[in-house]
Amino acid sequence: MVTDEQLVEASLQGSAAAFNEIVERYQERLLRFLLARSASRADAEDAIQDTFISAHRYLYSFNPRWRFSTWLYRIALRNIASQPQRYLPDAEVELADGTDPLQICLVASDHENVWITAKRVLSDDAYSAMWLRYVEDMSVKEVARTLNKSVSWAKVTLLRGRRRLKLELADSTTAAARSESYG
Amino acid sequence: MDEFEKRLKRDAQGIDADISPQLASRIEASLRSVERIESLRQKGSATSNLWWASSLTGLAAAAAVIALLNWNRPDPEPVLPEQTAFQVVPDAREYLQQIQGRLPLRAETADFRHGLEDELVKLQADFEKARENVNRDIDFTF
Repeated sequence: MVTDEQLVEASLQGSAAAFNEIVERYQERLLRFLLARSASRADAEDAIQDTFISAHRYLYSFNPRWRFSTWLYRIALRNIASQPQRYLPDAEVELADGTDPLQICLVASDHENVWITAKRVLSDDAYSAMWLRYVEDMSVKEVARTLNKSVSWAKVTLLRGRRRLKLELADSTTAAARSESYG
Repeated sequence: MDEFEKRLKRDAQGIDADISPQLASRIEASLRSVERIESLRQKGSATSNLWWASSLTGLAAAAAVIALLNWNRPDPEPVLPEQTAFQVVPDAREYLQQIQGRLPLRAETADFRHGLEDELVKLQADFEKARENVNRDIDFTF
């Protein structure tokens, strides 16, 4: 299988097909990640489009010392942060019921999606750190680099986020069991 | 990977992130336009580079021609404006040498003795006149 870095190299040589392959590989992954950080699905799609344009334009500046996904997610986060009029990070703005893009895009399941819980109880940065570490399989160092934070921040945030989520999930499981026993 | 991490991964896959054909075509179109802009920019920079290269070559050629033309030419005599001013008045010695044979020069012996004696007589006369004036004035006074 051709690696991301090889595709980047081919793109730099002028291969449009190689960059299209990169787009194919990452568009769904990026959309999943950005849905939680956008005010709407349309905003997330705009951010993806901007991310690929920026990546294509500045591909020459990519440092192969790091994984390509690290670089791409960093661009995506920067793009989503540059939509202040639509996306308000950490804002105390409650989305109306049925308008949360992440909630809308969930596949029907018998339990609450853990990422919905994560979005509810974690900060934006902690959510991103958890996603990059456990979904994108980035190392702690790569998570720190993508979020432009220190490695120690990433370690502490991941530990706390994990603990908080586990606690939240345990509480919800207990509550569900209690309601079943009463029911 | 523990159960919790598996669940995080599984639930992430549970988020529907199908790329609509509209979004796919939007991304493709925007990338194509970026490629077109980039190629135009590269062409522009290539034209600009060509212009600079031709200008520099022209300048270098002109400098080489000028250097070749001036290679064996002797240095011009320095022009002193003061010398021109001196040349208007001919040298006096040369002028005398030129006119020596043409003009007759008559030399006479100078006799200055008469002049001094005349001066002495005039001085004595003036002295005598002054003495008479003084005597007359004394007579008038007393």
